[in-house]
Amino acid sequence: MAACPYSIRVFNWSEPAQGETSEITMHMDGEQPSPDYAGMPSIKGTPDKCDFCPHTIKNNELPHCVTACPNGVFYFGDKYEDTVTNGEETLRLGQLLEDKAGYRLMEELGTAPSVYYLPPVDRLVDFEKGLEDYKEFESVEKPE
Amino acid sequence: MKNYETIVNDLTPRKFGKRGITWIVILIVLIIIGLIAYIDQIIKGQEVTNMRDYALWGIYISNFVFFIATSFVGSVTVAILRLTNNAWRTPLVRIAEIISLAAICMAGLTIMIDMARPDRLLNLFVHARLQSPITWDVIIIPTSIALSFLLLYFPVLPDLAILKKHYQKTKPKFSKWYGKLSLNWTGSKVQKALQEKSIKIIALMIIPVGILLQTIDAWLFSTTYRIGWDSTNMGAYFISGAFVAGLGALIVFVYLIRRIRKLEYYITYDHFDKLGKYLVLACLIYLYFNVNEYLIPIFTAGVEEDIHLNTLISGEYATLFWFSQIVGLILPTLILLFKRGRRPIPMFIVGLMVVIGSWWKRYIIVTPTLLHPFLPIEGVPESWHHYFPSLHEWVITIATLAMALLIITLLIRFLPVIPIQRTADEMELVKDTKILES
Repeated sequence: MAACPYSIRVFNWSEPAQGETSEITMHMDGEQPSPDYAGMPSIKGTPDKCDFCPHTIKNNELPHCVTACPNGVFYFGDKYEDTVTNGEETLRLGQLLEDKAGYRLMEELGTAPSVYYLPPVDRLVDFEKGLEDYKEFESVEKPE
Repeated sequence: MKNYETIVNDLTPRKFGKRGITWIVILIVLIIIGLIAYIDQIIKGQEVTNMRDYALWGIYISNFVFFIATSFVGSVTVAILRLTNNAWRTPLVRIAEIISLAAICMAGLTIMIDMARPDRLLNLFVHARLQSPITWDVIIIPTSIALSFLLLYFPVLPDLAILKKHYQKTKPKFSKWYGKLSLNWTGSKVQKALQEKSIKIIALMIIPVGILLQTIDAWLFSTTYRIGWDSTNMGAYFISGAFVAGLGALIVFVYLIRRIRKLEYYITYDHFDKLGKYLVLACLIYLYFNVNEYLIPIFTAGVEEDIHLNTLISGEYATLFWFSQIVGLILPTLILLFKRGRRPIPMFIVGLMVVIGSWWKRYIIVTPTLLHPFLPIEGVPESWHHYFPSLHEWVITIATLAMALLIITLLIRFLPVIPIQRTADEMELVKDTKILES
């Protein structure tokens, strides 16, 4: 947790309230859960981070963040196959990054993260609008 | 000059008086309250602390660093003064060894309290990865505990034999135990040579191990990409800080023990004077590294580091920062520079200032950095932007401090707090062979 400069990891300070997702098991052919087999349900007292939903990948589905985004801003794919998709279109990763000037956060640290960002283009509305009812942290409904 | 009998009588452990028993009861009550809080923490999880995803280390860690720092006193006084042939250390070394052992044991325990899954403790060994600073810590702490124990135990052997003889008639049970613990010490030439050699080796080893311990502790921080931690200054900064914290703790205990046990004959103004000078030296070195750590970066600080330094110097943490700098470092230096400041009572106050300042200094090192990550803190409740220990954390931390005090008190209760044999030898009173003949 302390070592991650991206502050991306989270910790299960109490019993994780994950609802149905806590039922997920990977059934990795008798393999014990280990860092190599991510996607296990969260456990109290251990850290977590986004593992890109291996339980959906296993079923040939995209991670939840990709399928849930109405604007299709998330692309997911395999770097070695050079392919990413947001569920609507499938693109070459290298081409996409070149065309849209993709970048990574804090490249100068040399941590070589696998998440790329595309700079905003053709903004139609001012981002400041539509935030009247925005509540930080409560903007997403939590599963009961 | 006192004769041998009075020295033994003066220096043998004392039974607790009313004050002593009250003290022990208070400590035990504090420990029990802490234990209850800890059990609650295990059941409910770390959510009972005020640590959250950003402030993920709190006073458990800063308290751990404080214990580690304090444990450096063994290396500093015993080993360094030994190698530099400073004979004035004699009445102080046992106290230093006791503090050192108590502190390092508590450091090991405190770090476990911070673990959310202590049941997986064994994994630290089973799945140890040599490239991880945590593993270095796992290796160096038990090593230090073992060495600190030996550093206390080997020199105390002749004294245990003396106590065995001393209690033979009055308390045969005590005598038996001291006899067993003294490993059949007779004071023969062979034994003496062996003991002398062992102590020499331990004293030589404890310096690199002590320095490594402090350095690894510093590396736990400086191997992370964090503003305020990612600093090449950290190792030396921690060593010098430990120098100060350890000596501060030593002075406090030396004063208290001298007063309670009425050891004015053995621990003189001269000892305080020397200790004071030693602490001034430590403070000045530490001040130098503080300048390197906080003042010089101001000139080249990037935006993020600037924000961090500003919260320390004039922002949210300014009070604590300046408290630890002024009360814990600058004022002690100024007071101790004067001869009058190196008398017992001012020294005691200075020692307290240094210890309290050192404790909060560790807090200042740990907490603010975590609240200034590279990417802005977003999408979390407002309370996660700040950190102040919860009741559980305070109660448990106080319990660990109480436990350290309890260990120290009990060791003082049952061991001669000033080496009897060495004192007698140095006063050239009796040939040791004669004493133990009977």
